[in-house]
Amino acid sequence: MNPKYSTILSIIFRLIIGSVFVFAAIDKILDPYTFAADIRNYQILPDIFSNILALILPWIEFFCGMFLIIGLYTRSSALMIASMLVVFIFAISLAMIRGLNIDCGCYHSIGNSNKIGFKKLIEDLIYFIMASYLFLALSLGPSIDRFLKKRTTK
Amino acid sequence: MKIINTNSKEILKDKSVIIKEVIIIIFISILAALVFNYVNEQQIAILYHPYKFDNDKQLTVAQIKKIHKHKEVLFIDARTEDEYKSGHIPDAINIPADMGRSAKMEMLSKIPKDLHVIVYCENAQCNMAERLAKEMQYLKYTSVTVFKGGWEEWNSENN
Repeated sequence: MNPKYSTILSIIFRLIIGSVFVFAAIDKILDPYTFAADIRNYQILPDIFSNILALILPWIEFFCGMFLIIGLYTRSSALMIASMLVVFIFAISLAMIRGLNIDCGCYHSIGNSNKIGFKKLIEDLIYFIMASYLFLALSLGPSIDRFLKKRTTK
Repeated sequence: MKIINTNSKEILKDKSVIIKEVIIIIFISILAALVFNYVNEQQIAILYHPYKFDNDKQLTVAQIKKIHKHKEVLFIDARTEDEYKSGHIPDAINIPADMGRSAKMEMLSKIPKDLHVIVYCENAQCNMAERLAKEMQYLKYTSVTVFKGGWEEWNSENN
């Protein structure tokens, strides 16, 4: 493949995952109460930790997504997003195996079409592949990282 | 033409940089979370404490029917719109627990905070009623009770 195309692919993936994560995060940041309830519904963590996770996780999503878009700590952000997606895929699968009919807690404002299920799993799997690609990609496109690197090597 | 790096040595070369960056991201996230939660109107406690409802004892269908007859309380169906449409307790209004936040807030804003409210969903296994009740409690509603048996129990008594 032409290296130009792989750069374009990187830019497209960065924008897609970045905006999905920022968009999903803002909603949860504004309404931590509902997200904490969603976390408890999964019945994986002890309830007592649901609030602290509901407070911090959306901010990690927000910064990783934002950094992917602007290209700061790009590779690390991609790695963190891929890791989060592994956790999400695990949590959704476990809930499905247990037969829980719950809200996935992915995006709030969309409303009813937000139940966990195979559609959600596949969606997360696609994002996971994109994020893993970004972690391993040889070229990530224009970024603040590259700008800083150029300045320090000069 | 290679587009991804398959050389594990090369990937691991940046290991210390990546660890450093991951720590920075986690650190600023925690900081942002704590600061924002401090100023946020929707502030929540760092550690979760389950809320006990006023009357912890479980309401039976007979009790619910008695309350229902007096019409002194508002029944809220926390299930989805489709489930509500296919059958619900008479006079109950529908506020799906998983509906969008702004729409939910608008519906709740019409309910006086001191009104007696009974929330239910499908059956004892569903968690929508409890979820909505907890949200309402959080919004300072003073008398919210969950009817655990839900629509299933109500319906079975009717038949």
